Amino acid sequence: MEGRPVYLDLTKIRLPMSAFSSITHRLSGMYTFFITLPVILYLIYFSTSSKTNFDNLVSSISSISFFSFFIYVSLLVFWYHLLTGLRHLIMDFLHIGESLNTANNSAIFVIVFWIISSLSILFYIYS
Amino acid sequence: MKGSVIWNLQRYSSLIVLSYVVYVMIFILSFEGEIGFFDWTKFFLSFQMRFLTSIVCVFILIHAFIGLWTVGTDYLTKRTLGFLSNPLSAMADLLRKAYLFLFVVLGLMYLTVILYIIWT
Repeated sequence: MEGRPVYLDLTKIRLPMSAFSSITHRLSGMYTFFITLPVILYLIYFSTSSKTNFDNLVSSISSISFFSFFIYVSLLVFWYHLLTGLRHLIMDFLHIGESLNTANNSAIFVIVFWIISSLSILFYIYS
Repeated sequence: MKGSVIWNLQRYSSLIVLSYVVYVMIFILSFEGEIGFFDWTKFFLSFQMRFLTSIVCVFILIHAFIGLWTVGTDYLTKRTLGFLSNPLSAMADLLRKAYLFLFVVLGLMYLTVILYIIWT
């Protein structure tokens, strides 16, 4: 019985990619509620309150800064939540990709797609 | 409320929010030239968009409430907090209520702010 786990050691459990996708969907949802939504309220307020505010906002989010990076990261976390959520909707409503194998592959696909699209968006904005 | 109703509300509300996001993104991405203040407010503060945004915000809050409530009842329990520490586990019910209170108040604040921004 040497080495037999006697308690639940989370570091010894290999998380399937579908489980990783599910937990990060929840985490990104929490981030979206607590961080991205206030950011969006801020963006809506400054983009609609006056022309000066609008122009200042545009110039501050067009330049590379911690502020603009924080805004884009917040929106990209929401983008991740949308993508993983779409994957869940396809499984729940259309019953496509529910087997362990395809669920793992679609989870990997979504994460890779998110990374590539996010980097492209950041590159497009900052270049 | 029946579990199946909550399950369906969670998913259908997400479809409504998704449609709204796609609609706004289509406006921004398909706009010819650079969007200025007047183009943006003409679109976003039109009566239809104000109305749509208000409705969608209610669905965002419904969606967020179910999601955050699910996370709370999954992780902020005596059992799961017991993996971390016993004193924390003993306070699980209180912590979960405080967490619920926090996001309900925050959600209502968001709603008040967005309605104030777009309707005044």
